[in-house]
Amino acid sequence: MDTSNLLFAETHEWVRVADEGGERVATIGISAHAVEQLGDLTFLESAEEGSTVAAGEPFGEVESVKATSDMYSPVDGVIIAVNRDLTNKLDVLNSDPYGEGWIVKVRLTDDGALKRLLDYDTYQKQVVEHGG
Amino acid sequence: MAGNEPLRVDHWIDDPLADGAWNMAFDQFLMEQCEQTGQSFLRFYRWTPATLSLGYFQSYHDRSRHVASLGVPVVRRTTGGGAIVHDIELTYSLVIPNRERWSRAHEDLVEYVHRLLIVAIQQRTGLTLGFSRDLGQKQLMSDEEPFLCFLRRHPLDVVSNQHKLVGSAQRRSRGALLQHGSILIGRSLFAPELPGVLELCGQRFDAELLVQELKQEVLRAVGLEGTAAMAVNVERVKQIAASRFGHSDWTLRR
Repeated sequence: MDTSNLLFAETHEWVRVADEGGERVATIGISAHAVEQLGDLTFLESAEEGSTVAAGEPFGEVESVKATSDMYSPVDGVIIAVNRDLTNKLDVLNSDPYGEGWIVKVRLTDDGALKRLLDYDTYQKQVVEHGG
Repeated sequence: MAGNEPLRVDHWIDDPLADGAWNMAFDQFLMEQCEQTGQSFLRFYRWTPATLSLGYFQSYHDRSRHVASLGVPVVRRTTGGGAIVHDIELTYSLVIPNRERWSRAHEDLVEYVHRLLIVAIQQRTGLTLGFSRDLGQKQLMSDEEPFLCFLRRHPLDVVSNQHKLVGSAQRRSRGALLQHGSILIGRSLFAPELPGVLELCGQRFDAELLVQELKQEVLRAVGLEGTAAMAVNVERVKQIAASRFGHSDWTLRR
């Protein structure tokens, strides 16, 4: 698992930014730690393609057996793809959270929020210090 | 909450009977208040008319699976799980600051409140209750889950003689955690397959008296016994009810 190109929000979402067709596109998911803490997942839902998302604002929800939790966008932009395969295969979030477990792709409209995100090592340190 | 520390709550609210949109809007309002002030809230409430609440992810059309409740109004909760017929029933909501919304430690809060209710119901009625996990009840697989919450089983559900009497679920935002739960006091005409505390203990208790006694037990446990219930911003609750929980876009969203 290559985590060197990932950035993390303190709220446990991850981002991988790449150039696609001349545009900056952020692939977003939730961290392995968050998935582990949630336990058995039952549902996941995100905003649809074309929706505008703002850094720090909810873009979807994930439900485990006893809890429904908001997921927060780490970036500003417009959703251009939703991973619909996840709906019936939520176990992929456990087996490959940083690959096939991606949730949405967002075309960035502003890079500013990226500066507030953490690299993998700093994020892991936060997880250890705050106990998850 | 951490470890075995007793839970302390800042305010409590004793809401009069209200409809589904108001009841759900009130919980949303308390989450907003918690996010803004860092204070915690405990609320007890009941419903009129009898209402079916859908779990957040349930399909509206699935209500056709439960014929007995087709005649009652419906509202969608922000918490997940199965549908609940709120009739001869007491609902509680507990809203606390949430610094780490993913943490499994939050399940401790379900266990803590359920343990309080087990003791309180046992003391008042003599009924033998326990956690589903301790009474050998099977957990149902997700693709077999019944429509009604009280026919589902989670290890922390409170059961008596194979019947579920208390269930809870959480909604976690960045700043607040809402846990609301349902205590089945008596059998409803709109969910006749579900006996409540009164039926299981032989109907020797007055429903209203039992509700009041359960409230007092919980208030005592969280350090609020003898304190006055908090007044709230009614206009904001009305606003949330009208724009979200009373709106068909919300109820029919899936």
